[in-house]
Amino acid sequence: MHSFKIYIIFSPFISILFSGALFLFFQSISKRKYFLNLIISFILTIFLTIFLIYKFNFYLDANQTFYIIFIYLCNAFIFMNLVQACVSSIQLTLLKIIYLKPGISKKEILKKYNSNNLFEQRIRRLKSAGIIYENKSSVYLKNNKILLILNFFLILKKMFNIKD
Amino acid sequence: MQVILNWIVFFLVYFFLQFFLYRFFKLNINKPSYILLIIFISLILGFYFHSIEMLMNLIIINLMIISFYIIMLGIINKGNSLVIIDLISNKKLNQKKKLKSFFLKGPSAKSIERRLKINIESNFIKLHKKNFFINEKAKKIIFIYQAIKKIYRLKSDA
Repeated sequence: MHSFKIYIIFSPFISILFSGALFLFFQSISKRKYFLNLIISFILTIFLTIFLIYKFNFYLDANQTFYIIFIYLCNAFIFMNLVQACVSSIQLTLLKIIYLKPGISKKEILKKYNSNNLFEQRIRRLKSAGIIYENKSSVYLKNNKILLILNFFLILKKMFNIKD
Repeated sequence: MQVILNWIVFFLVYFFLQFFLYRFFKLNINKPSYILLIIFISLILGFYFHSIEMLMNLIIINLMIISFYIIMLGIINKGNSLVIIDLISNKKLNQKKKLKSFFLKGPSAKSIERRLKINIESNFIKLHKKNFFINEKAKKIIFIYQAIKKIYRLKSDA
């Protein structure tokens, strides 16, 4: 029984490793967008986790079930942000620019990476993610689900009284 | 059900503590140093109590705090993609030229300078005679991120 409890402690971490492996597999075989691959790997793992919880339901109490699901979700959220940071973090991009050219001045950095580039990159990414679309030099929202995330952050920003 | 309710109450208490401290005292408890301190205290408690239930609760608390830290980063530094979506949906700016000019006039125009400042404050880079140099800590971070990028074949901005 003791070893079963130890397995429970480690199971959400094993699940996230499994998710990572699935994501790697999808990245190597499919040409889909990386974010979609990531989400699919999370969904498949959560289904597998729920199936295992259902199968071992007799041995698990409510606290342990909550632990397995909640820790997996937290791990997935952290992993998703880690992957996302690799792709679009401004801070990391700046670190990489300075790493590749030590002693670089602010002027040179801004020549390479500035708000103008940033705007174009973000527009390109939003278009390729299917969130916006361009029509005759105008851009429109294609997917309104993103407004949920926007409103979530706007409400929290207002609550915390954070000004831009 | 009771377990879930207990944890919801705990999350709400933590959220409102954070909200109260930030809104009224501008005190952000979501800092890496605070998180490391909480992890350190949790490790001591984990060893001291020698109980698997206690260990599970400590892991829940720690991961919740780390996840909340990530959310707070998003609230404090609103992502540029969200700024663009905000301009399109709420300010009804659809013309790309106009959208770009609003984006460049707004706080997002300063986001690169702001991130440079954050990098200096976080001790990732140092400024010497108007030139930037990277610190050892940041080199390790870049190495980790480069490894993740290579393994998962991700394409980044730089």
